[in-house]
Amino acid sequence: MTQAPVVLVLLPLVAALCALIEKALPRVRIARVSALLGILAGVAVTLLAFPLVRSGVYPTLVVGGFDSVVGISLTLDGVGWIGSVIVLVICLSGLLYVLSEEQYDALFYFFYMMMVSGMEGAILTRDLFNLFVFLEIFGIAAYVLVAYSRAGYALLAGYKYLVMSSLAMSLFLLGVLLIYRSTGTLSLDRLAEVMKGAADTNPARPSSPPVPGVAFLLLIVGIGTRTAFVPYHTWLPEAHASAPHPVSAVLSGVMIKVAFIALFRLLTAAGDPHLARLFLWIGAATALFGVGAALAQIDMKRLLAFHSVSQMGYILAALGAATLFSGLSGSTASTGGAAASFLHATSHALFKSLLFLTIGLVITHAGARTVTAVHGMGSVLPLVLVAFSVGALAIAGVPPMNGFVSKKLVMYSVKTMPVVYRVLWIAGIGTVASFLKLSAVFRKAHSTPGVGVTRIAPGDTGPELRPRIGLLKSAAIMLPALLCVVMGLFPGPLYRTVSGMVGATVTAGLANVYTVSALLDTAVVVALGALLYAGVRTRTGYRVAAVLRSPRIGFNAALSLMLAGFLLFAAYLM
Amino acid sequence: MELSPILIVILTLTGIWGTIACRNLIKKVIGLGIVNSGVVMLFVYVGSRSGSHAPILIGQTAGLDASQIVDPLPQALMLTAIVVGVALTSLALVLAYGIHATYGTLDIREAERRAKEQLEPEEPAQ
Repeated sequence: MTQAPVVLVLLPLVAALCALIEKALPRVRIARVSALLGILAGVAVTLLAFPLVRSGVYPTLVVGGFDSVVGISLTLDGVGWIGSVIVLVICLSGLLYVLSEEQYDALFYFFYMMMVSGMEGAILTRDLFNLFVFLEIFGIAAYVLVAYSRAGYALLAGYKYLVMSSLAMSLFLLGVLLIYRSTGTLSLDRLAEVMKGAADTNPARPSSPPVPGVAFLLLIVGIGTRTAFVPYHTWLPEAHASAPHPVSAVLSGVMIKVAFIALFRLLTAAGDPHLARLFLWIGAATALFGVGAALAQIDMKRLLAFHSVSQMGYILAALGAATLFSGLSGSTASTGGAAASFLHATSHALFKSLLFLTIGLVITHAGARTVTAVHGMGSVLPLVLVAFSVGALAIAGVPPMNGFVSKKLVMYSVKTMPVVYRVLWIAGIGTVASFLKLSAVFRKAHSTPGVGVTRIAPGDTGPELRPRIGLLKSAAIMLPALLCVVMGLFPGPLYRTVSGMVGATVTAGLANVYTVSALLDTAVVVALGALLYAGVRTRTGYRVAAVLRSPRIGFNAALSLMLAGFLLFAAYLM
Repeated sequence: MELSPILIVILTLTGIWGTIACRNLIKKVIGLGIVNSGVVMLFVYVGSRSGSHAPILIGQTAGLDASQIVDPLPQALMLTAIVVGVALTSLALVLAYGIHATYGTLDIREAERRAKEQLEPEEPAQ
């Protein structure tokens, strides 16, 4: 079982190799089977490792048999286990969708499995340079997959994603250099020891840390560009909207979470409350900005992509709250925050990939991707409507879905910061409103004031009045949908498990979030969301949305914004 | 006062400037290449300052103290970073070629305008 971490990285890599063999010898049709087997075997290994990880015995392997101080160690710890589960489950769901369509060739499977392997590696590694390599591996696979359709906009989205994150990764390397120079190590565990040792021996002079703060900021630019928080989010909407539907599900569902886990490890190693506090504000700003931009979109996938930005804001705010009080007091908020952010990361992975897959099916069957152009899909694709409803209720934080549980925990963990709490609360209203807007594609056509767009009614889709979506696609959307409901129905065990995994103490009062006040609060948010949606649908609302949508940031401005963000954070740390 | 680190920093900043400010897709890729080279040189420079002897275990270094031997790790890391950089450059050029083949332009703003038109056709006037 100590081999588990390396097996998890190698299994998808072997499957990728099989896909390459099929590419070279087209008659050997092994790409599909090996991809499915690779992911299923990974799921099995992860689940088998659960008792071991739960009891605190983390399977660890130092690659090449070196001493753990100099070698690269891969560890399947609690955080890594959660990450590994969501990566494999979402990639399995995406793969089922991919398998049901014929347009994907062996090369697609190669890059898909390389992406899985890179993500597993980035989650499990404890070495900074190794993290760089794995971030680049799944990054390169993602750039190719974003541009896979070879449409002009997809190529451009892939190019912009590539240039932006390569520039950020160069800065990440500079950060690695600074850390190596000042501590002589690349291991995150060793770095944590050095930082902690310095804080313990020298509490009177915290102003002279062993590692300059700018080193961590450089690393955060690199990881932050992949996590997509404000102001590093500019690549995300285009990349996630242009990718093939199952790839969008994986990008939005887990790829940004993988970078988030790397960020969590980095902040834990840095052990700097001041740095962590930054994420409280970044999170609040990201949540509000994302939801505001999402509400103005008319492209379905762009709308969903902006929601990914917004939900990352919730996750980061909870993380900021988690480490904000660490070491200062044993307040419940301090430890609850880490569990809340990981729980919400898991919830978001499930419901966002579910939403991308269902909206992907809608776009495929309707032949249009603008919200205002599609109507009445509910009667055409009833199963998709059910699955979409689960996802939409979950992201809006309505019981009994997992989104309700995790969002409530996030809100609880930031309660000591009233401003952040209010901002996240308002973002929740926007989420409800924008999903009411998106759900219009399932409702019957009705006259919308002020917009005269050709609508695609069920009758227009040709002879396929009730298209069959097939067993594989049904499985692909039902897997995350079922998990969303199950996670929502059993909040207690879930909360206790996740808390144990991330090393947070369990607060008895948080195990049950279905309290009267929480339900009332949700009812208020939903009512206000409906009100906001009514406002958005008025003539004035359309004009405001069009104005908000039109000034799109150019790529050069986006790159400048990235550097400006770095300088701003540096100024904050000074 | 050593001149090399200053030159390396100036080179890296030039690359960053090129990536951010150039509108040409190919020039942006060149900028990225310069940034990557700058970082690699900085690593190698910092690594080379750590000692005076080549890090070969046998032969003349046998009797030396560890502090006299050059730290081999930064150079070893940079081999990987260079490989990653080559992969990224080639992929970026492929994408830029594809964009030029589709939209007939290498100007980022022009390409963005075309992509927006293609993806979100303007809503008809009310």
